[in-house]
Amino acid sequence: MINDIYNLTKFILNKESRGYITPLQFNTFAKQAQQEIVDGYFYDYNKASVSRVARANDKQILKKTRENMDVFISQPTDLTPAYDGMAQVFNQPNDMYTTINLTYNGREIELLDRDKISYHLQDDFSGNNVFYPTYIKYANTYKVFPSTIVSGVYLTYFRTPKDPNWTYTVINDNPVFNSSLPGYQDLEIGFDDKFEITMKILKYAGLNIREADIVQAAVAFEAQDNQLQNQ
Amino acid sequence: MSNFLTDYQYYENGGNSPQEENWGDYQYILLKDIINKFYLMYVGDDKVISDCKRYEVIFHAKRGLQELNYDVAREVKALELDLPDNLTMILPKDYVNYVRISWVDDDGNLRPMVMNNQSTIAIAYLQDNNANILFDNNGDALEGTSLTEINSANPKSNNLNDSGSLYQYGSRFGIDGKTANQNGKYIIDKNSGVIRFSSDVRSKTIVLEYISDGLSDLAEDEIRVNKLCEKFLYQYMKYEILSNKYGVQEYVVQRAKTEFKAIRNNTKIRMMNIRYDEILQSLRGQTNWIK
Repeated sequence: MINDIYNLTKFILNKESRGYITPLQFNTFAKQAQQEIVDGYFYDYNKASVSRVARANDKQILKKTRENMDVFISQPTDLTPAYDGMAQVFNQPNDMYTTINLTYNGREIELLDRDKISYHLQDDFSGNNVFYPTYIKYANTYKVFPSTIVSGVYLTYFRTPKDPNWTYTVINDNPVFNSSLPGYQDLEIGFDDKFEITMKILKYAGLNIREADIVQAAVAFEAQDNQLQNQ
Repeated sequence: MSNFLTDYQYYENGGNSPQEENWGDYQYILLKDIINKFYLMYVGDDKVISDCKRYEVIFHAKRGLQELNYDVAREVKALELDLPDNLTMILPKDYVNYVRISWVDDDGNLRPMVMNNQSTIAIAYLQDNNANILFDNNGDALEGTSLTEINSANPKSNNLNDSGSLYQYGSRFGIDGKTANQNGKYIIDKNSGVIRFSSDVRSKTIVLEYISDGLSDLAEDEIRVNKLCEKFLYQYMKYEILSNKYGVQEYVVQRAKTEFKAIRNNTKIRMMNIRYDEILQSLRGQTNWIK
């Protein structure tokens, strides 16, 4: 998909000799645009979840959004134990976007409310044991309770999208797409977001070459797209 | 505990020890399974309870189990112990309340005892010759052994009605039926965690029948409940969670309350073990003359 979008972007920008986008610029803009679209998945999902009763159509939106998001779900990852100077913690992976769940021995580790940690840790009636473990997040680490859990903590999470990379080979002074080169990375968003990501890349490219027409057109397309989704 | 045991696993525990591990387990369901099922079936975006913290569910599940044991299930436990010379028996560690206290006679029958309401376990402060209370360095009163405790362990009289006669002086025309029991008496000292007995039962073997809350002595994944009470727990948890949740319409709470009350009554009837043939057997004696 990345080559289609690159070609389309280049075609629009070059029309009437407005300007040119280099592969490096394209990769940079594509990364930012892809991240915005992934952020939008979470927004769409929450919005469709909230209005689940009022709109039957939201079931389809939920399903589609969930499918788009599923691409970014990791396999359960055995977290690396570490010591934060005070206690045992578990480091989060570098590519983590947001937590889905933590498990220990197949049991879910529940996120604690920060304002209730002290109450919870003094109460052995409602959990706080190896059968019903809990956790709290500090910076990029997870602290798991009870403290007897020192390994075997598995994290399932949404990862950040991989950086798109339109790889090429120079032929006759022109970059020609070559997906077999190391480092090649296609876009990971859904096929139906092809138009949206093109508009976003054009917006950044237009700003870059200071072409107001391109920016305005891209912004207008985005606004129209948002309006259609909100109906 | 599993629904998928083979006959060999059930009767012989698959050749493992102890052999009786799975006997009778089918009548129970684990509390952890109830909590899991509750999350699956009662909590979700399209359910009345949209979201709920697990520790809240655990709390209400355990509280429900306690209520169940107090009011509905009443699974009576029994402990048999030889009474020591100080005529005192320590309460079981999972004791919540007693049902009956008896001693075992030579034929193996239980002889129920009665509560001694005419004595009490008092705190006894140490006093000097002028009856002034003695204090320790922290300013707390020094405590000694209560005279009621000393004398009840070493009674000077065996007359069962002596204590009653103090209240009936000059007006005694018959026996006090409430205390007319040759099997002995006891006082439960809740604060000290002991039961004190009259000397009538010295050297006897005591049987304490009591109720617990179903949570003691069990690891989290061993706590279980009779299957006839499963629905009671679901409804209890649902009602408690909804009634404590912000923004839930009152009619939803009331509906949950009605459902809970209905299943509580239903569970009580189920757990009463009323059987047709037993009722018939009791009614057969109705033509006997009561003398």
